[in-house]
Amino acid sequence: MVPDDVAYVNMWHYIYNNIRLVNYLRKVKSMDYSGKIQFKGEGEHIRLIVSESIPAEFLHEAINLAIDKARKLVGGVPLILDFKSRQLVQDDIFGLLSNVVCKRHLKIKEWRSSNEGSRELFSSMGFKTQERGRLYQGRGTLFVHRSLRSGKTIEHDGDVIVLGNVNEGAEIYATGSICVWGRLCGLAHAGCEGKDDVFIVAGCFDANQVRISDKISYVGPDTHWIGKSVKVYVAQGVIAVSELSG
Amino acid sequence: MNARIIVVTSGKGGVGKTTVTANISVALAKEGYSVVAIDADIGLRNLDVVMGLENRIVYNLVDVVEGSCRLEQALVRDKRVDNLYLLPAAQTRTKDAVSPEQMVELCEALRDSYDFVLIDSPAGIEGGFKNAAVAADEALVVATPEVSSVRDADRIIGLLESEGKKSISLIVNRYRSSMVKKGNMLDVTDVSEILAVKLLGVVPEDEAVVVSTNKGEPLSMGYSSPAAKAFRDICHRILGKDIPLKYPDENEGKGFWEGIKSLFRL
Repeated sequence: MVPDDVAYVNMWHYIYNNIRLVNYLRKVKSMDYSGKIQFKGEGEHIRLIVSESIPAEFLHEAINLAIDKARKLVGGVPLILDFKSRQLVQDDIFGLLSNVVCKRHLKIKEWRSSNEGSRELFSSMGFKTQERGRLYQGRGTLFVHRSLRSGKTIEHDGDVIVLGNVNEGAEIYATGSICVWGRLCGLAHAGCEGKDDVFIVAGCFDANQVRISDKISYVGPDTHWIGKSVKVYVAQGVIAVSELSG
Repeated sequence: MNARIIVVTSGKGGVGKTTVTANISVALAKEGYSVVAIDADIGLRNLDVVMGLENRIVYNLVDVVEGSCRLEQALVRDKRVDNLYLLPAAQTRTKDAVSPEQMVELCEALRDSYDFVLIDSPAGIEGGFKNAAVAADEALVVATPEVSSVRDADRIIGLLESEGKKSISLIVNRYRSSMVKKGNMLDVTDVSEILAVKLLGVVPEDEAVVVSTNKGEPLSMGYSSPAAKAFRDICHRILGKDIPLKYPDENEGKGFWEGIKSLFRL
């Protein structure tokens, strides 16, 4: 028979060892996950990119381990925390604040995520977030088989061809050229990532403004090619327009 | 019965949604159909005033969804027209007082007992509009021939389409043929072409609308002004009758001398 007090000590010893083992395994797991955190320079800041594959329960441990590894790099530099498309909940953010940000006295320049819900959460908690970047819906040539109504936005990496009208209040952002078979009343921005050798073609041009690359042209109501078929392009660094005949 | 649930919406405020809802509800009821007009503009209710039923409200839409009363208790019966009821909005609450699910439940409860349910939507594209539109099978979009109104109507039609509403029709309200002739107002064909939905009717600018609104007697009660006729035509088109579309003249029905006088005023 084992005396009661010895059994009691053994029990605590067993629990203690198990906790140590669990903590050790957890640390090993967190170290695995910390490898999924990237650091990237962004001007005067460092962007800490947190992969979506890290489970929420390992989030702050993995970030802490990653920061430990890059201690010299991170020291004192404002950070941008980029959670990619992860949907964060309020508890995740509280965990990050108490276990990472406050614990390490980190300066956070910006909380970033491509997830709409996470961005809303950041904003509602008063954190500085990034303006929504363009989310390109695809590549190559996009055919839109209908008119675009007010409020509709198309963001496309490539050329866009609209087989209909682009109504006032609708927007098209294309890295390539834009062709509107019907009436163009909304905003068309061709070469929105900086390409100059692109164009906008409209079956009936009725827009107030066109944009190509970083150039903007305002169109007055008395402009003679309003209501006509035109091609808008960049020539010698400025936006030029030519009427399409036939 | 299997009621047709129709939302009357516009995006922009002040284009005549409430007037259109009241007049079409009255016109349908006068045709012998049982009609419930729901004011979904919680916090800014007006349909009760336009229909002249403001002094008979006891319960409202929010009371119904919160279970403070039964649906039948909140319906205000119009004594002037058979089978016309109003479900008023709460004036002291906000749009958040009702959820889309509650609105669907409410409309479905009305579906079996009435022929038509008309929902007067608030302006805007936020929760109030979504609540009003969620349960509707059909949508009547009201627009005035102004660029801002047409743009907002276009946005609303886009939202309704994205919510899967198949039957969307347009009513052009406050049309002034004299201004169109002078080129100072958008033509109905322009509006119709931009919005690219079925045109259900054109209501001319008519002083009688203001008078009837202030009196709480919708024009469809039996008046003979151009707007009253336009509302009756719209009602018949809703019922599937083939009424030819015409673009009314605001001088129509004014009489010979008034017509001559308005000609000289030009």
